[in-house]
Amino acid sequence: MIPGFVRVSVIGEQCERFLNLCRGRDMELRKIIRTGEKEFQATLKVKDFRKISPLRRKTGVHIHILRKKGPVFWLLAASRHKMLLSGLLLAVCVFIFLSGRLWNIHIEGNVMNPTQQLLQFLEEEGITYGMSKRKIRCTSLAEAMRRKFPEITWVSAKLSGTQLIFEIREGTLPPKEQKEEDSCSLFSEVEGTVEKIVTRRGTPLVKEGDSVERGQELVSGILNITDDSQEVMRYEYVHADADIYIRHKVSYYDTFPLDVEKKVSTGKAKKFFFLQIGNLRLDLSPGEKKKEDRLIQEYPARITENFRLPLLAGTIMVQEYTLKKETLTEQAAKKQAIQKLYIYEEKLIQKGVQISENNVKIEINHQDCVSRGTLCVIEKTGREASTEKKTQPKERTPEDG
Amino acid sequence: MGKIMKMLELPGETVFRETQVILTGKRQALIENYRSILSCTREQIVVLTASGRMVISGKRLEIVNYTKLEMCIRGRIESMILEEGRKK
Repeated sequence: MIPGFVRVSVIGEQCERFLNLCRGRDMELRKIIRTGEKEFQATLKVKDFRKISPLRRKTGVHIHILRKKGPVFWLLAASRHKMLLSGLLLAVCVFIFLSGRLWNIHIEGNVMNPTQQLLQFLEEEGITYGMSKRKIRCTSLAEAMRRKFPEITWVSAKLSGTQLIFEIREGTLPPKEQKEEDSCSLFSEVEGTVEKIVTRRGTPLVKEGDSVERGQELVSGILNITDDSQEVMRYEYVHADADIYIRHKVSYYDTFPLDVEKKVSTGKAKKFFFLQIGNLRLDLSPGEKKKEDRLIQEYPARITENFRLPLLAGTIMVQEYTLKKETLTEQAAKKQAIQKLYIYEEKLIQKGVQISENNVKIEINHQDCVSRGTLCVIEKTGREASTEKKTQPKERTPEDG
Repeated sequence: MGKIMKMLELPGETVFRETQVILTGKRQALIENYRSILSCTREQIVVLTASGRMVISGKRLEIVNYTKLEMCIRGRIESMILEEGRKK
């Protein structure tokens, strides 16, 4: 029975008798308060209220309902708004259905492997947005990820709500085992002077301060195994491994004209909006013209962190400019030349090259600015190439002496 | 009968249906084994029991719970008088 209570007002001469009769029929009354000379207020259960009619006639009291409380009355009110009730029910069902699906994939801890690459791998494994959470096996996914990406040393996969979370730890690749057939020597790729050599495996053929040429063997992959009298008994072949730094000179040359055309903004700028659904783009901006710069900003629609919809909105800022011819001053030209040299040096440094001397001179004539000279650099070298196998020396017998 | 009850150590409220009143300070009285309500106002509630009338006087009195087994009166109880009455 759905619970419900009714607060009633009992008016009449025989109110106490009415109360006693209710009690006699096992009805429960609550909060009985005298509110007037011939009036009471009391709270009854709905099922008891339905039984008071004969008692009311017996005692001659008048009953007025003051308030109705309880779920039974909510349902009665809701039955008048069936569409609202069914809409609420549908919303609850949809909510329950959606909460059993996957809506977001969160990956953290990855540095070497980009997130998009990992998401693509997951897609190949059958993990897509909107799929049932029951079909996801976290343990097998983690194992597959570790097999596919050897840089990942540890991965944890777990489902949290409607989110699949991956925590990744990356490390260095395990070193490949070297076989005897992989024996090699190290050769120089540049011409210069040996600055530093640290040999870990193999026989070094040069030392610090030696001049070397391009293609010269620096560390041999042949180990001479000698006896007590320093005679070679046999040759062993290894994969040579060493850090060899060679000091050499790098030529630098750059030129640019002093007369330049500069873009000067006219101050006229317009903003346009666009909408893209899939590959279909609705663009309100005019066609591209000369002497115009366009800055496009895109705002993709996304439901969760990595779940993007094929819907894109954005703005296009169109700025007009004119070309103005001007001649660079000596100071400005030198500054530009230095900046270019600096950019070139940065690229070398990123490759691991150390720059020890800068002998670049900047010359300005009436037309151009020329930067020429040499940079003295220290570069790590050591090209691997297969070792020429030598014939093993004959085994000496006691008769040979 | 009273002597037999005492000898056998029988509880009076179950054997003779004696009225039981449990007072909680001055604010609440729980009454069991009563017959009916004779009158009920905010200042006085008269309850008919097996051994007579019980008059509860006070202020802002209300019957919180009224069932066949018990009734609970709340309010500011000032006095409780048991009047000797005709036994039915």
